[in-house]
Amino acid sequence: MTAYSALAEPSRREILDLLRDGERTAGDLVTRIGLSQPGVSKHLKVLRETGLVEVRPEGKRRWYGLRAEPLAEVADWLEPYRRHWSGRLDALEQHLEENPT
Amino acid sequence: MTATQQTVDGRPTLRIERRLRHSVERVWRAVTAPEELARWFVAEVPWAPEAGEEFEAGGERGRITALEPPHVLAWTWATSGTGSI
Repeated sequence: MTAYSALAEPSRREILDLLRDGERTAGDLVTRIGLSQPGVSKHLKVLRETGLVEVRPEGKRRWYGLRAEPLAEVADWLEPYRRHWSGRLDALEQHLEENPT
Repeated sequence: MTATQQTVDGRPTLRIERRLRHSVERVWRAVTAPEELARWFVAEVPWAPEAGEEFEAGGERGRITALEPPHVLAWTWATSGTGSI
């Protein structure tokens, strides 16, 4: 599975959104997302396999954290769209400056 | 200007925000009137516009999915993408 397919699943994106604030345990994710423990484990497995998430053991606990690299790849893919709309909005702004009424 | 990636209605979304110093009425005219769009958008957009209206612009088909003058205008255009202002 690719990072793109992994991101296509809403619960997995929700997990990634939660991990943006920092590392969390699987139990914490279960509480916040409202999915079952096996459900969250299954999603975490996919996210680890696609490199979107990494795990850091600390004593008995396992901390899950975001990995930036695959997300940067997705951001690169989005960049032309961002540039396109930024350019259009620049043109809109200029049009309004030149034709204020 | 800000651009952020979000999830809206379960779909990955690129949100671009731009504050304009002109009146809401002036901006609304710029983003809806075909003769105004022709001055700044990539293609002429020959629409009324009306909610649910289908149109063709720049060789791509689109449909207006939300219209609440003078604040909300949303449309699909060019494959499965959705644009809204």
